Amino acid sequence: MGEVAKLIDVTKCTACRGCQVACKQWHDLPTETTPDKTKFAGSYQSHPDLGPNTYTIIEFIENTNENGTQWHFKKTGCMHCTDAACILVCEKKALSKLENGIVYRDMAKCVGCGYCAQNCPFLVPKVNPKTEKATKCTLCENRVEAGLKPACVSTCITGALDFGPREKMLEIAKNRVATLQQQGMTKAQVYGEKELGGTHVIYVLGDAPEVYGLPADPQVPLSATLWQKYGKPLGAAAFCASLGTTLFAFFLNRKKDLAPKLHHHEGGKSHGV
Amino acid sequence: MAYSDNDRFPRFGKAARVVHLTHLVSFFVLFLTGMSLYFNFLSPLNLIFGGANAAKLIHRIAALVFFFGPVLAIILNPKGFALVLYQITHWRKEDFHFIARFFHKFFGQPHDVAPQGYLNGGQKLNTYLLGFGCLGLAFTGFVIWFPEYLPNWLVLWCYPLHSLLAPCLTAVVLGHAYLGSFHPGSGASWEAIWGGSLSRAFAEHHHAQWAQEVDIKLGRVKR
Ligand code: HEM
Ligand code: SF4
Repeated sequence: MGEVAKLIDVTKCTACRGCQVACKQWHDLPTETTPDKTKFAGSYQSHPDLGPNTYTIIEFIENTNENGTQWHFKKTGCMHCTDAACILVCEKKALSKLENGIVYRDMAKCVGCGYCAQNCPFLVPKVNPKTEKATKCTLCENRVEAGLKPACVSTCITGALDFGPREKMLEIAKNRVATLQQQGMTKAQVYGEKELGGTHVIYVLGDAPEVYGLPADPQVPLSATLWQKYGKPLGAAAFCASLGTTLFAFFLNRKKDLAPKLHHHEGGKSHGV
Repeated sequence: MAYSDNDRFPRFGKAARVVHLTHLVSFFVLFLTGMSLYFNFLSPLNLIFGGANAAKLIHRIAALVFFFGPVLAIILNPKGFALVLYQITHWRKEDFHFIARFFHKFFGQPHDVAPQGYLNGGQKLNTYLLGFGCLGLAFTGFVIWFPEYLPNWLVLWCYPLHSLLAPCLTAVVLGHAYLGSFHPGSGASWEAIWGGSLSRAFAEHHHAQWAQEVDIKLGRVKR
């Protein structure tokens, strides 16, 4: 199989949250117990944010515009980007790209530095403070390998979730957007085709990305690129140059007797100390 | 008081000496525990500390010593700190004279030196580099320690800054450590930072102006 993708059609989601449960079940994840991950935020949303034990949530978004108030349900999780900032900043190679496009997560290598969590344009990975490991949606890479669909997709009853070859998912998404636009949702659009080199989670949105809390033009942070591509070699060069110079001076001067003698000078000539 | 060849020149107070030592050790530990995240191939360094997670914890403990040590020293000896501040904010032509000949000194080549004050030009420059470098590392370090409480853009820029400052500051420290420990005749530097004072020979040679000031202050007159 070439590149794969998960399709999330937010216009079909009814917020049953079966996918949230299926995800927890497949990954054997406990409930979130810390108050900040479970606090009541004044809506029907289950958790305020993704968490180390919660790889996907349905966000409940109320949007008021000239057409009145709409209630959107948006499934949130890892986007499996082609240009993945998390992979760029992970020095431990705990995150890597599979051939099928999945951003693979190797928990054994992770040390929980949290660089990925902060540099992700969608702030998806979360570090579990107990295990000191970063976690996120895996797109059920082991199920996919076995020819199954991700757990969330296989449980979705409304057809809001789909999974398959990326090209096919894009085609379905585009057709759906065309239909939605005919029905009057003029701002309906595909999200993820070109963003960050093309993501492997693709959205059908009924409105502009910002309405769903998605950045209109997500980018790998400039600071991350400068850090990894230029800063590190530069720092290493500065260190090596200093070490080399110092060692050179050490061997050059080692045998010299440059210790100052008492000669009651008036601050005149010195002989190289 | 009579002048003697065996006179000592008091240089560093107790607080400064103790903190210089803890700062030295904590810096070294911070460097070693940080580098495995800089280049993955340096991960074997973590074996010294008992694994990656232990190294991470030790980086944080050493960071506290690294930051609060000097803060404590300043509180305990504000006068000493004021003296250093005065020195580094008052530049004289002798300082530039010294800096112009720094590499002659570093590589042990013959050169003339104008009489220097309490700190020579190189030491003043070093104080700036190390002072701001350490402050920068501490600030960026604390930011990336507590990212969840701070704006994302700040955290994002502190990563490359911390990462770049660490090897660059270590580069400066290597030169500083060489001059203070392995350069011929540098045993005297350790006398000062360990015991607190300098010999007449070293003080007069390296800090002629200051040596004269001390002699006058202590009434040590040459007969
Ligand atoms: C108050 C002082 C400092 C604090 C609070 C601090 C804190 C941190 C933190 C939180 C990290 C992120 C990785 C982790 O979670 O362990 C880090 C990384 C690092 N630290 Fe520090 N640190 C301090 C001083 C230093 C010093 C003095 C050095 C070296 C001379 C240093 C070298 C490094 C290096 C090399 C990294 C990895 C950078 C990278 O991934 O590119 N740190 N530090
Ligand atoms: S937290 Fe783990 S996965 Fe994320 S960047 Fe650090 S080592 Fe890599």
